[in-house]
Amino acid sequence: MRKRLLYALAFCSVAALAAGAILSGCAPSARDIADATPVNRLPHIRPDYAGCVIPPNIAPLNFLVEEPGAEYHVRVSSKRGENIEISGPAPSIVIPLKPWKKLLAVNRGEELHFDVYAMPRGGRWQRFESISNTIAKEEIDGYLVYRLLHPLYNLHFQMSIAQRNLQDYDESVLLDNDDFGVTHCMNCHTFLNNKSDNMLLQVRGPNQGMLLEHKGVLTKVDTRTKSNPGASGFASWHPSGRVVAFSVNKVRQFFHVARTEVRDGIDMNSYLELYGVDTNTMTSIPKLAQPNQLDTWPAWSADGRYLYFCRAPRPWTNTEKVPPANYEKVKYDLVRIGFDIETGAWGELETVLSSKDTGLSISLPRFSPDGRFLVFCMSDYSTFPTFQPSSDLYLMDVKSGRYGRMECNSDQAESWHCWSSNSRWLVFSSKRGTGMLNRPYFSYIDDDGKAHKPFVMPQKDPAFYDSFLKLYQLPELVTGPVRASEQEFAYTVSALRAVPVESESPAASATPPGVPDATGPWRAPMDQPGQDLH
Amino acid sequence: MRLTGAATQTRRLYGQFIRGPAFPALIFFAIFLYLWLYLDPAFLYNFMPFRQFPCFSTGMEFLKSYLPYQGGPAAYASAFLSQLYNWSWLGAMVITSVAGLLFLATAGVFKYLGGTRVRALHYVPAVLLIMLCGQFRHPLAAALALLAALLLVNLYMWLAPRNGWLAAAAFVALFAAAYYSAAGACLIFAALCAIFELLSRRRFLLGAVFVVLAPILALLAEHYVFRINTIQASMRLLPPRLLTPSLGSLRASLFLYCPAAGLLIALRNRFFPRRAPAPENQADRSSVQATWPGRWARIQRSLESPLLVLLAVIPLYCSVDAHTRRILKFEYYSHHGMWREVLQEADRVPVEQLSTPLLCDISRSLYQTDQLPENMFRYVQDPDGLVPKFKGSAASSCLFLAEASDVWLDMGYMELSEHSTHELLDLTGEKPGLLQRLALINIVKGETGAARVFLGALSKDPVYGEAGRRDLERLKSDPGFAADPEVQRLRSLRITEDSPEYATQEEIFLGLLKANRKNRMAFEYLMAYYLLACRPDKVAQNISRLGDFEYREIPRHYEEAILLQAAITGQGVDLHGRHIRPETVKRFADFCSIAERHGDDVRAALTEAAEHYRDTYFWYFLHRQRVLKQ
Repeated sequence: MRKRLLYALAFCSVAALAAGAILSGCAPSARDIADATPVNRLPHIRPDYAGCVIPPNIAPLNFLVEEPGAEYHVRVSSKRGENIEISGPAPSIVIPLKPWKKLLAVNRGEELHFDVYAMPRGGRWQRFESISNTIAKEEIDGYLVYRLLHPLYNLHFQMSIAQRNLQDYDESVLLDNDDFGVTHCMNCHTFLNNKSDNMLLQVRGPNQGMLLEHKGVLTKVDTRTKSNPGASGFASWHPSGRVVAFSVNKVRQFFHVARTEVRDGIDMNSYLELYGVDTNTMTSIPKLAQPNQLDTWPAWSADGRYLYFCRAPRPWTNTEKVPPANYEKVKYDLVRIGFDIETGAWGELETVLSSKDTGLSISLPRFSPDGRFLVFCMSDYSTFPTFQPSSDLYLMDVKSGRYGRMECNSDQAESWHCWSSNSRWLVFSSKRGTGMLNRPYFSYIDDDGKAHKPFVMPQKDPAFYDSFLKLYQLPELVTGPVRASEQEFAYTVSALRAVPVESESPAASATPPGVPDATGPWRAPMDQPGQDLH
Repeated sequence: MRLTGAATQTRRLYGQFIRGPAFPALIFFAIFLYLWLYLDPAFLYNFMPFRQFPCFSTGMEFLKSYLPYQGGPAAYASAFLSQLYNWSWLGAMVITSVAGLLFLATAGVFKYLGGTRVRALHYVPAVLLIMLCGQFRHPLAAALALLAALLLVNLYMWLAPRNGWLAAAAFVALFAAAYYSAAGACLIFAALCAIFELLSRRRFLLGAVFVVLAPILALLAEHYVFRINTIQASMRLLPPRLLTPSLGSLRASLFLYCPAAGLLIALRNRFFPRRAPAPENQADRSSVQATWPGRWARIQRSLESPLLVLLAVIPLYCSVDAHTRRILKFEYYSHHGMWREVLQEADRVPVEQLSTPLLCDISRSLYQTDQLPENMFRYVQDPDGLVPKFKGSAASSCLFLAEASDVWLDMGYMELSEHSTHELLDLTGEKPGLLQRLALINIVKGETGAARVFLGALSKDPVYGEAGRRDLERLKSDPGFAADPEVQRLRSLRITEDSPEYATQEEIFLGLLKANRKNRMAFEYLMAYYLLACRPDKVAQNISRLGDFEYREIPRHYEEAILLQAAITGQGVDLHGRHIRPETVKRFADFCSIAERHGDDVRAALTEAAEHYRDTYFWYFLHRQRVLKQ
């Protein structure tokens, strides 16, 4: 027995020595590095993590070196702390988590350098110019919640809502339609003040309802009423957490004959409503439910005194013909209306930004929590920016009313943006690079409202995005993880009966004719899944 | 005496054959041949719209997507093994191996429970598995989960700790393994262990503890360790369509059989010990034979073999879904461009079984073999069978979508093919065929960024990975695929003028011809569309387009439509310098005389004309008019 143990120990020692020898053989010596031939340009790396401002609490920015070589070496350094050295024959640079965290923590506000070395087969080590990024002083909220799905056309069978810890790579599923029926669609997860303890999201399908997490309890609410049979769609929590503004939309999809993004969406009819969280009541807003108007994308101002939304005249009367004539001429204005949370009184309507002035259609307004800035999308037409390659992000200084195209835009669609709780980070969904697949990008917004070069959400495998076919939609930053588990969400969707809204205001009769149907915002067209052979 | 000796010798040899490994090996070899040569797993692998068939991707990300769930190991193993179906013999080998292991595991469990003389009972789970395979529903993940549970039962029974605490510890450890690897199938493990302790080892307290402990452990695990509950996890292992009544009972039988049969065996051995099976060694056997009626035992042994053969043959005749097999065969030929085989198969299929997607395959095969305007009415035709229309419904949509994706791609309508392929991608998973197609479409559209991602995903496929990596390299050196004739061909056919989607197929064909007037497929499909819609006037109007192509003569069905149009209107048709062949004119005259002879009795006219003119447009036109009138 003892003899066997000795043999085993000897074997392990030899194996450990051999592994050590191999690993040390991969790492270049200090002399190799010092003698490396300088190359007077930046190295090509993917994803593009060069010249960005990054949060001090972000997970390591792993990347691929796209330079020919048989050996690679990367030194990650900053002003203070220990350098991180990574060597190996693969161009895939995976930075260890703990040293990275330490390095970033002691270098807030400083530059972070990636020194990339490559040695071609049989050649000498080459040293490229140092890649520099800036470590911001302000942290980003720790979690990102998003919807994952394939490019959605008519059917949706694989859809989930997941949360990702931005400080490492841990991703967990909150809701997967595999758990309660693939015909279900879910979207519009919305949080109160970037905190995950008050949230809601919409589920469409046989077990339709709004999932509401409030005061630590997860419930399913049926927001439809007799006079308002349309299910609620896009939402915005009032900063007080007492009410939520909803749009009710009759969204229809159509397709283009020849375009990079062939999908397009149109709001055939829409209006706004108000949901009382504590009272479980749905209240119509007569001024925002006009039959000849399309009102959508509600967004409360940071102080809660105004409800901003997007409005366009509805030129068609027939809400069944898709797309209606002149659909490409429908452009939305940015409008606001005063609101007193104590009395529930509404003020007067004001046009904040007119599409006549911009020549573009406005959608998705979102306020920075400090109330200084308002970011919104503008595209050639429509109110579904994700389908419009022309969609860009614009930032408005709320005080002066001045606005401009943000520096973080690309030639593809930018949409679904969300501010961090400290108003310093903006996450948005961008189709750059593919024209089809949304990826979450982060941009640092400085004091002057300037958006710095954005970077894609880091992944443990730097080649992750090279083969990932799902879209990241509606990325929402939250400070902590969502409390409820996937199991709890699935149970709530499938087993719990939706609680109907208890009452509604008499003003509900102001609902316009031809109210959106119950399946909006996206039609769930499936009947029985999987009858695929016959 | 010698004769009796020979008979005894034969009986002994027969007995050895039946009880030894040779007979099961023979049975499973027959199963292998049946799976390989008849059911053909490659049909399933190549059938793009088959949503139950799992995809597989190399790399940690894919593995990690399975690890957090109960039953993840069984599902992951199933996903990997399913890729071997690409090679018919290897796929058959996989299924046969799983069936063989189920047989061995079942035999092991029954042996530990006291054994049974009826060895046919050991084959039942394997036979049920083959029956499910005959339904083309891909029950591999479920079978692997069952196998994992049975193997763990065997392990527990082999360990059979005497000490109660040790037994409980072993049970908990193995139950955890069963729960993680096989999700709901862990209950089979628990049930058999409890039966073993209660009836075979007569440790009632321990057995009762197992019965109580199993659900508690499952609940604790699903609450504290896993993200979803046991039922949800178990559903993920099962092919969704197994919920149909007939298949549901098969599946239920597969899972319930072992506990039920195990219970009966244990009960029999517990309460009727005299009927316990013969021990393995000869000395014991003689003593048992003394207590066992010899004649009945001989009858039983001699019946066992035919019974087994019957059990192996029954699935061949009873459980095969011939209709699905036919669809798979069509799709396989179509997917591999085996157009002549498609048409040969079409000749063999009864007319009433030619569903819309199969008609679409036939039309495409006719086009690809240059026969569409000449021979399309040799086959049954339906106006909806040219290109299946997407109905916005999952019911029957997969097959329709696959057909639409193929046809529109061939015709050069990239956006519509892309639409259908994306729908399939979400419905059926990231199948290599779909990834290849989406990469091609994006290359044609000049969207190399998107194409790169599709090829990146393809390069992780264990079967098509090499092709994906090769195209990725090619994309680097030649982003436009300028040297690829197929890409260039498709690019030349593309519609470049944007508008909202066309409303009708006619608009699509005309749009494609507007984009490229030499798009022969769009032209022939447009003419076929007019023929099927009983619009000979439109056929006559578009005869001028023949000049854009290299037709030596007016194709037969167009001639027939022109003659019909001239007869209906009483006016001549401008043939743009071409002429109608005399034999077509003669056939038309003969057909007209038959029709005139029967007057208003169209049915009688059609019946008589069917003998010689069933493959003409005249016959279809008259038939269709009658149908429309009805």
